[in-house]
Amino acid sequence: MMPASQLLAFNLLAAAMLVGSVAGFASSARADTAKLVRYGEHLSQECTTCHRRDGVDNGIPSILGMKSEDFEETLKYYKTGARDNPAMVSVAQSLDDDQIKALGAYFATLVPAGK
Amino acid sequence: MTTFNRRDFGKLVGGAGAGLATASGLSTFAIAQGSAAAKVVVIGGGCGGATVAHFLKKGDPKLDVTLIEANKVYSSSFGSNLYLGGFRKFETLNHGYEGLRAAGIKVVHQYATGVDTAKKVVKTKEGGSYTYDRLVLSPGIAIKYETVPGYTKEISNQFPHAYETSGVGKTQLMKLMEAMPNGGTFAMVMPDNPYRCPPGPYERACMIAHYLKTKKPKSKLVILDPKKAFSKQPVFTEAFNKYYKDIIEMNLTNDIDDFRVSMFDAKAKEITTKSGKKVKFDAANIIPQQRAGDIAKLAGVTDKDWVAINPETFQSTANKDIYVVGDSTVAAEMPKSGFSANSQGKVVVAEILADLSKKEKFPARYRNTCWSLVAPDDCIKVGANYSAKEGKLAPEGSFVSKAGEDAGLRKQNYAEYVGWYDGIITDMFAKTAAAAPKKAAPAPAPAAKKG
Repeated sequence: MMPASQLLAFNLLAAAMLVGSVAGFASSARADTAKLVRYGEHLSQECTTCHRRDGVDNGIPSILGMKSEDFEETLKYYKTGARDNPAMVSVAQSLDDDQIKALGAYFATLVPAGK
Repeated sequence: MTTFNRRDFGKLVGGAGAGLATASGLSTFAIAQGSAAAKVVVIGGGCGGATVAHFLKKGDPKLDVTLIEANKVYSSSFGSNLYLGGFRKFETLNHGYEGLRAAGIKVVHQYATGVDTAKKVVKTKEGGSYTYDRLVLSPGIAIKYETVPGYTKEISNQFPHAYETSGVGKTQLMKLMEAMPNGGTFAMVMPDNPYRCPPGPYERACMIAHYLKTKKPKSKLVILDPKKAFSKQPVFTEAFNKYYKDIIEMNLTNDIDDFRVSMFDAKAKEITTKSGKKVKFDAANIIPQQRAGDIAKLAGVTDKDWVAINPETFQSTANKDIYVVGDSTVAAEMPKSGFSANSQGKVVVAEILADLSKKEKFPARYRNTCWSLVAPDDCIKVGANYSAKEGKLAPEGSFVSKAGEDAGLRKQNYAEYVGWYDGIITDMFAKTAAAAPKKAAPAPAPAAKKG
């Protein structure tokens, strides 16, 4: 029989595995929109160093309120090099399809100021 | 410690790996469930610290977030070279903390002088005392004056380094340029690695040379560099030759000549290098070696000059209750830059929110991009994303401008540079369109061929 401490650790691990598999944020097929948007919000912090979070374009285009299909399409152009801005190619190539989908879902929920 | 990247994380979510993160979070459960809000103190209100404060409060408004920053006005180092070249007004580099205050962050303009890590209290020069559950340091750099023999803090008032987060040195540099005669010599001493903003001194050289070329064209800019190579070297060299051939004299150390300064004589206005070269100057900008800001050492997290961190979390390896971000850390191969500090700050925020606020935690992502203006409408850039691998931050997807590029591309880079400046300031200081109105543009439609 397991000592109590090991048993506790085992139970915690088992519970955690259950939580982990239910969370499943990385598998887009099962993720609901809210989770997708939440993941997108997290990832978006990388975008907002350059793309202003208030939707103002002062040299770098606003991506707030962009339709998610448009967002995904644009990122895929960068990923394939059909659009060639090296900074954006580097960003797009570091994102997998689920992450691009999450970002598109999140930015679509935002409304630029003054709209 | 287990290392995993983004792709591995997807596999881990459904497996045992996720259990580790959940179980380790239990130790801090009491803090988050207690009656009082968990307290995070951030020291240093620059790219790292302001970002951490902003995103912590945004991520969990219930957190008690205090930002301790001595200066009421943040004067950005990034973009400040453009002021020297006449491409930016000095005032546009200065920013206040009102956006962060409005977001509910307690911004305290005091100077942190010590950390009692056992009692978890930060003390300030003004007599303030701030307890914390988690501490974040973003102290930036301090100058090691003694690394340039003959150069002192006092002399820096006459011949500035202009390399701290302060506007003073930059305005002093401008006055020096304005006061020097047409036909005079401006001497510039470059730092050895590692230092804040690797392309910064070379962008500054271009901007000083541009000023001289347009205002005092008979003058010279003599550069003394202890290094054998530097950031974006092929494109900076191209710019030196293309725009400033009659102005810039570049002395890069090689196997024969060592251009490290052996004596800086402020009275005689003369610099002597290790290999015996002497330069008489009218004006000078001396950029010595650097180290982590004082509070890092006072908090006991420095290893020699810098702070060692765990690249997956930016926790100090000396004290895991203390997170450290930005220029004061050894985050190789991520460069010391404002963009890096902002990116690292967001990773720390995710760590603390998972820890104190039980938020979902996602794998860390790091990025840096850096623009440098070399002449009017000619801007170059460098960048990469980074991930923690074998104790380092390994670059992926790196890019850098190339010599001979199309002028339109370089001009577009400059528009991006200006846009990024506004972007990161908005991001750091929780600015809103109401506070900084320009045009609010609709999101662009996708097109395959645009840049």
